[in-house]
Amino acid sequence: MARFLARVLSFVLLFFFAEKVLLLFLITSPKLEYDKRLEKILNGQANEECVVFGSSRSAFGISAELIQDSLNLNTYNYSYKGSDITFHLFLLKTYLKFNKKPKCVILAIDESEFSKNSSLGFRPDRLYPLALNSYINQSLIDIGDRSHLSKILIVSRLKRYNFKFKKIIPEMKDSIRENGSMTARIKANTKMIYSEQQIGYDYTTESDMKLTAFKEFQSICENSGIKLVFDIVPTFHQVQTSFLERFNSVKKSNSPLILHDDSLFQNQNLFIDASHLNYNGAIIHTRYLLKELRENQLL
Amino acid sequence: MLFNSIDFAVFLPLVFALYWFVFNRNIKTQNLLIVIASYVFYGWWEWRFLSLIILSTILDFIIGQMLVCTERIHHRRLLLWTSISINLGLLGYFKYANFFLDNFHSAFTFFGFHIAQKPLAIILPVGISFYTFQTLSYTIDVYRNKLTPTNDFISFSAFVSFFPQLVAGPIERASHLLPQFYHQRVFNYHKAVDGLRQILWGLFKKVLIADQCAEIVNDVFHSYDELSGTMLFFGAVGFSFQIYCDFSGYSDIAIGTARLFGFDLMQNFNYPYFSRNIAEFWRRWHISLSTWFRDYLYIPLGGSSGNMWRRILNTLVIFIVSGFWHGAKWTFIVWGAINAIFFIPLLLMRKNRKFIEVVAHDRLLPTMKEILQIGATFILTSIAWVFFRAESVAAAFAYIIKMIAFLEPNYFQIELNWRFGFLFVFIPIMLATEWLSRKQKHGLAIVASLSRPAARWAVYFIIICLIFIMNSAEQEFIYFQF
Repeated sequence: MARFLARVLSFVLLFFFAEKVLLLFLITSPKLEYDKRLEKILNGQANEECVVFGSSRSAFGISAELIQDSLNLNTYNYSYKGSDITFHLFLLKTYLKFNKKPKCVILAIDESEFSKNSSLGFRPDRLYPLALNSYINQSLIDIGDRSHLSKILIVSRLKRYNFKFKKIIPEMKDSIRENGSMTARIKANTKMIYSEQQIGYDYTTESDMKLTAFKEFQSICENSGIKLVFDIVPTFHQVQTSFLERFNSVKKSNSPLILHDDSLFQNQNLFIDASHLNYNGAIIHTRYLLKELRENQLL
Repeated sequence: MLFNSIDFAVFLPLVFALYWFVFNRNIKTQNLLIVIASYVFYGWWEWRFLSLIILSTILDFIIGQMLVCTERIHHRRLLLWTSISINLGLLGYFKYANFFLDNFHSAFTFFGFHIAQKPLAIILPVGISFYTFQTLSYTIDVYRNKLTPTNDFISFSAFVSFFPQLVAGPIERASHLLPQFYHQRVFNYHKAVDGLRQILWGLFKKVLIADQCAEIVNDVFHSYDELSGTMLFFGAVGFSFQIYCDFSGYSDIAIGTARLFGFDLMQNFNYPYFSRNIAEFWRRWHISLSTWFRDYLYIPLGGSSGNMWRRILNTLVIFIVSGFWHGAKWTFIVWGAINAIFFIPLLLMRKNRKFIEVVAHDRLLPTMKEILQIGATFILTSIAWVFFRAESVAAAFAYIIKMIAFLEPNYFQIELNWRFGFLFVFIPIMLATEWLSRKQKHGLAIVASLSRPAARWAVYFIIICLIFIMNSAEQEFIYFQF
């Protein structure tokens, strides 16, 4: 038994030291990323006056450069493809922890905002390259992505994602512009049919977690004195009124919701696909957004 | 608690330390620790279902005691059937009640009678199929006078609830496992070290292969009607490896864990994908279940005695019941029947006992004929596995038809990304390792032959690192649902 325990303990100790070699992957991971927005936030290099959070719809559909030029507010777009409100909440908290609070936040809303069946979710893969950072690692522990062992073992912080050996070059469609937007000059290559179908809101598919995250997002903005504006980025279908009713019942009354004019967005030349605006569509949408913000003195 | 979880990583060393350092002086207290640890292990998932294990334990202990007190056949038979009825009744209720209600409702609807259907909200207790069969083996063997019933309730409880194999086997026979609780266990260094190796191998298969295959297989089976035949083929092959690595991985962890405590559990998988025909496959796959059915169902039905038609019928019954044991769905029953269809021609040609020794037992490499035999057997089992995995029988047929009809050699629809890359590395490594170890208890036993400790430790280091890195959101073991 003594020999067994000695061998096991020796191996464990040796493992504990030898695995530190894997630190190399954690150190090089951030350098290989093309999307350095989260790193910017962590390093306290954000400090914008106006920030945009949302999914790919706002990544493609809101031009932060145009907002910046028009409102003379330093603006940045922190929208991530495939992300949901839980991720946006994480971004907001992280932003406020390491940077000066912005004057305003534009939160782009998807119609599946509260749905548990949505394809949108938390984006842990955006955190993996930065897992060496203890705040990021703790955030990943908090969402159940890893165990507390990751506080002492480097190998427990590593994911398959970290094993990259060359710089990631994004496709044209995934390029991030100077102010964080991903506006793309691409047109839809198939014929699309504008949908006016209205579907009832299904309360049974609501996610409590997402609702809670949304309410917390609002509270943080309110308590921090940040002006919060909601925006529904146009898609190639009519906005669901049943969702609007539900959304209006959970949002705070002092946070306005900017609703676009559907009639402006029935031209498929403004879209990459049925869910995402292209550059031209983004400019039209952002101009509309700015007009609403000015006319209603929302900012 | 999953074997590849932090909870178990804390639980195991704690129980190990208590077992060998605190409770080792007295065998009764050591067994009591096993019982408590096993109940904690099981209760970690759902403590309320502990009552079922305790009920089964008390019932079969008492019946065992009563069986030895009476010689009257009628009375003994009554006791045996009481045990069988209650145990199978519980299993039937929790596992099959909704299946029978659904089919009952469908039958009535088919004939034009409309009756209201309200499915019962029943949660399937994890491991119920396994420990039920384990306790039944006790009462049946006592009835048959093959086993002396125990007077030691603690030992019997430990036998029923022994945590390494409680929830997904191997399904131990009382005659094999129970006596091990009567004797003082002596720590054996080599057994413990090899036990750790076996645990590591089990984790390798589970985390690096089964869980990675699961992601791809789920995508393929979910969207099979939109994919090419080639992708469906990869999906079927992927599931074959997923279920093997998941289940045999669990068994390896269970057996390895038991060896740390000085227990020997039966081998549950004997490299089944190196089988040269279906009969050999079924001698090597889930051995504890197939031998259970052989001893407690096939032989009582007449077994191999009687004419060929009787044997064929018995074989068909066993395979169908085996399929049904896996789950309350027609897909499992059809899976069993398909395996029977594959098996019966061998029975007719009297080739079902042809390959007894391990393939290429006196050579390093198989012959071309053996490779073809292994390949053909693998393809047949993969076709059958499609039914095991599919959501319905109709979906399974559609899957297979599409797979065969639209096989195109160079047409991948699901993006070939790192998931495939890892699998094209890990699966051949697994197969090669198990091939080299095919005469040994588990795949990683071959590492023991490396003369340098540094080389062995390097292998362990790499495997452990890979397990940490690839261990994403904990995927449950497939056989937990049975």
